[in-house]
Amino acid sequence: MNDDDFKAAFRGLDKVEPSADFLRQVRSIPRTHPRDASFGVSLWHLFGVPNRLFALGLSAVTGLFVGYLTLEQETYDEELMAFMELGPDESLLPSATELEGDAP
Amino acid sequence: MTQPHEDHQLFQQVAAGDPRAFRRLVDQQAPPLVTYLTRLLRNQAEAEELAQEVFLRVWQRASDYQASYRASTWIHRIGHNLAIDQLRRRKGNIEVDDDLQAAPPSERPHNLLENKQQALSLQAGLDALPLRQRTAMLLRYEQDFPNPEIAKVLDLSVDAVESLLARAKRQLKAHLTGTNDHE
Repeated sequence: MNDDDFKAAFRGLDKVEPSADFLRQVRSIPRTHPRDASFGVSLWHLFGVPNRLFALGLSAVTGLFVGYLTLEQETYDEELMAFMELGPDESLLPSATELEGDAP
Repeated sequence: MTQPHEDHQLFQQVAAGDPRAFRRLVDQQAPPLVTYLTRLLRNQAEAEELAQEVFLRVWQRASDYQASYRASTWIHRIGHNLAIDQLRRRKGNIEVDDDLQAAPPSERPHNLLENKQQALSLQAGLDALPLRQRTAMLLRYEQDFPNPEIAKVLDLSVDAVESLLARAKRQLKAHLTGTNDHE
């Protein structure tokens, strides 16, 4: 017997036809077994968490940067600094003369 | 047999969740798979149950498909492994349908390709083969798989498959011709 004889012999085996019920059930697998929803949701959540963290971080950094740019000018405003400075003859504390003069 | 790049494309569509692509895959692959599993298990209902499990795995894990495999090879490999597990669970008590028992030697046909008796005799000869030889013969001569694809399904080297086939053919030929010819 050569290969062709074997092939011919195997073609003589009883045909096996998948049953209609089997084919119906298998074809409906995408409907009856939707892809694991929880898996999809968890992946989305894993993807979403870093996204939210990133957005939060970006907002904070932007806020700090804008604040730095604007507050820098305020901090070095000479008028503001002048307002805060005292002259050589000035004092925040009232002198003894002033205190006596205020006394009734 | 489909081309590997077509199979890869089809699996990509299935992995993306396309039910029409999955149906196309089922229509192509279910009949040969059910035939193969029925021959191995000798029980079509059991074979269909296993084939259903195979396609469920394909649907859920299509993204695991390796482009180096043909679709038929990959699907038969999953089915083969499930069938082997099933046969192990049976602990060697493989059911044989009554109408497919071996033909008595006196009724063995002289011309091997003529009638149903020949098919019964071939089935009996296959049943008498060790499992690996039987699977190799079924894949080679019924499913028309080339030896490298059989090697992938059975997880063997191509040399080992060739050796299995040579031994199986000698034994089957002896059974079919009613001789002990070990040429």
